[in-house]
Amino acid sequence: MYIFDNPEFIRLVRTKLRPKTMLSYALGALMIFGGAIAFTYWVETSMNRWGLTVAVPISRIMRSSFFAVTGLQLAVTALFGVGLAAQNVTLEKERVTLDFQRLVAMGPTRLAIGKLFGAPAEAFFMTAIGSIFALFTSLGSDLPFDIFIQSQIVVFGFGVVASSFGLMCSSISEKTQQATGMAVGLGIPLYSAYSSWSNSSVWGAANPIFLLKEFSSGSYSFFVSTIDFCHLRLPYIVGFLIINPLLVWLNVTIASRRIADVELSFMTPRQGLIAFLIVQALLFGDTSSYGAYNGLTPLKVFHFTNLFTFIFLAFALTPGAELVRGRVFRASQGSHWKVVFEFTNRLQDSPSIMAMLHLSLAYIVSTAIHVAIVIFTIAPPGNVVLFEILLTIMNVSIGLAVAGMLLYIQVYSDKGCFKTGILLLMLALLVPPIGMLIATLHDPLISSINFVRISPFAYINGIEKLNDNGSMLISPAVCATLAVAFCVLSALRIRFLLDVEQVKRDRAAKVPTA
Amino acid sequence: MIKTSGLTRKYGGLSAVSDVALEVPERTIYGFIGPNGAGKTTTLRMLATLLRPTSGTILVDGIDAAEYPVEVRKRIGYLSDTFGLYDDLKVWEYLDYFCGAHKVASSHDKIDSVLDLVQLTHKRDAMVGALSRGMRQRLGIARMLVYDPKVVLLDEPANGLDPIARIALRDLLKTLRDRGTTVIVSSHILTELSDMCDTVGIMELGKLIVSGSVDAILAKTRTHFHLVLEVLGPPEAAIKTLETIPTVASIKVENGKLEIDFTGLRNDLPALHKTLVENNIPVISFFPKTENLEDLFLRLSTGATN
Repeated sequence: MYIFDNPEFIRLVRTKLRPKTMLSYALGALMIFGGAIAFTYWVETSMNRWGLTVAVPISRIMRSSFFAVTGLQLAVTALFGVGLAAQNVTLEKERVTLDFQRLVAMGPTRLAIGKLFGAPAEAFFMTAIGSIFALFTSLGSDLPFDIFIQSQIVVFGFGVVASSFGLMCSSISEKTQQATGMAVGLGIPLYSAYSSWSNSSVWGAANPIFLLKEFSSGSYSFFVSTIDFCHLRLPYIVGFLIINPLLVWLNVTIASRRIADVELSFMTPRQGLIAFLIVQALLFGDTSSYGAYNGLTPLKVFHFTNLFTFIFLAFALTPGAELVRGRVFRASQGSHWKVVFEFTNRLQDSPSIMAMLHLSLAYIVSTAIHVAIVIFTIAPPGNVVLFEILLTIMNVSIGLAVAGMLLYIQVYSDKGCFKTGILLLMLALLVPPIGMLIATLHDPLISSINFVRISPFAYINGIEKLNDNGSMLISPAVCATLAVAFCVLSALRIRFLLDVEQVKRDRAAKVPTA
Repeated sequence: MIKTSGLTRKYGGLSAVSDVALEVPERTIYGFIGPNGAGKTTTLRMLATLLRPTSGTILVDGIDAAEYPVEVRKRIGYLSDTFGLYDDLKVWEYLDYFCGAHKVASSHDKIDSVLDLVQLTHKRDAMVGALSRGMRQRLGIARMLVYDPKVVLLDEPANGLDPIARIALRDLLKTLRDRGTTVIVSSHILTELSDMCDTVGIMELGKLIVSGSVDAILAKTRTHFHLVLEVLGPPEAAIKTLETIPTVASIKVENGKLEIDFTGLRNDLPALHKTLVENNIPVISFFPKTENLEDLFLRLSTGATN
């Protein structure tokens, strides 16, 4: 099988699961899961011991124990697993072994897949021991057997998702501590944010906690408890299996790129386009639930999601500063505009602006399809077509502005492009609305509609509140101006760098050789 | 085997390597000489495709390293100056990992033959973490040998090794060369390189000052000879005679022997000897002092790095 003959997986398992180590992890698992069953038994029978209730049937105790064990399995595989995966690549960097891994013939993707399953080997081993306890309690309870199977798919499936996220964080960090902090600190809120979107949609079913909660409810049934996706009624577990592999793909893609070369962008333009199309497919798959929404909500959800996707892709498609600067220094004098809008497919050292322009075309097509769906399914109030056009222009402009800003930072300063970029983006997106909020609190006469004019988030959320066309144009116009401004500034800076290089070459040519 | 042109790597505004044009033929041991910070490691990392050049090209076995790094990596073995091994694996497991990673068939036979070559057969089942510094170095080289790379790049391989381990390393590299591998080895310890290198390149401040065989560089760059003259009795008469010869730039007395800086050609040396004899100078010995790699480096280096 592909994974069991993966040298990296074999190495990690050999290292992590030697007999003595396995014994100690097995004892640890025994204490955790056995303790959970004992504790559940004690809680369930305590009322009876005090003579307050009638005797609790053993099947109920087993049922409670099953969900206690499964919950603990999830905690072990997710929290312990993410921590272990987050240490992997950074430890290789710190121990100076990653260079050798980069040079091996098996390639970075296979290497990353080996790490994905091998790095959290201890967590998977402990969880596997937990499966024995889960099976035992499941058989002793009145739960249908498919609940056991589904819960184990959720536990191990989410373990792989957590491992992939930890691995991705590890691949983009320099220090183990930084990677672990990022994986745990960012992973939980990010996952909670997107998967709590709507419980009846495919997004909600991606959340393992939601699924375990549903499994534990008395009303759960495989064919009755379903989600809406592409006008189909699908069991929750299918929703879980649709979304989570995509997340694993995204994380492994980024990790393998960073393992191959730290200066490469997180994704190739083609991978960026695939990621964008997947998001669109998921959004369109969710249209069957549009009937449940009011007014312009589907439109807002669509453009909110795409705004975040575009900002993410602008960062993900930008190569490291040294690669871009190398491309600049190789350019001939006067070709500054060419560098800004170049697309070097094989060398992968061109700025992300051209890739973002291609994605913008995909976004426009996606918006056109969305307009048709929205009009035909819910016929919302207001000028939907105009709203969709303005929101698309604004989001595309923000994506291009972020790409242009990153290029400008790269050609202006030596390093810290991503950190500076995130900081500037946060300032641009958050400071105006916060300032406006403070102003509104200070002077109630200032209209809150000004929020909508100056903040992209507020603009998407409250576009229908702008009742004149002039106000509607402000936000898209500002974003488009920023996009153009950053491209012009970058081109001018590149021209300056090329001129300086030319002067240096001229001077060197004039100096007589000794 | 390796050819670079205009190889440059900048870190921000700083040029770590500048316009390096290098040519290393097949089946040779090429020594990279230079003080710390000269750009040797950066150059080797670029050759190993671990670092992209800011500009310039690298051809390894005729393949462009920037365009086809994966193909180049199949042909290259690299050992950095400070490298890690997986201490929690056994020696055979460590090599087995790299056999698998490089898709080498029949790994057990390969492991045994490579361990034999680096003289670590007796440590086959030992944990990597328990090996000595010299053994770890040899295991690091064994890691590369499992897939028979055409080019081996070694960055300061003798650092921290005792004399016996250094000799073992030198012999191993010569064996590799004889088997058809091209070896590029960097060091700032010149005696270590002079014993094994066929050709050398001297780097300073990111620039390759000179490159070629030691003898060819000496012949190309030598502007004068250092002669050693020993005479019977006090040297004053000899000094007086030598001072009249225009091609003698300077004379120094060292331990009773005269050290002469001679700016003439090699063909002029018999005439100089004849002049001394004709002036009744009792010459005991008269010979040009041999220049080694260290003298060459000190002569060509400006010392600007330090």
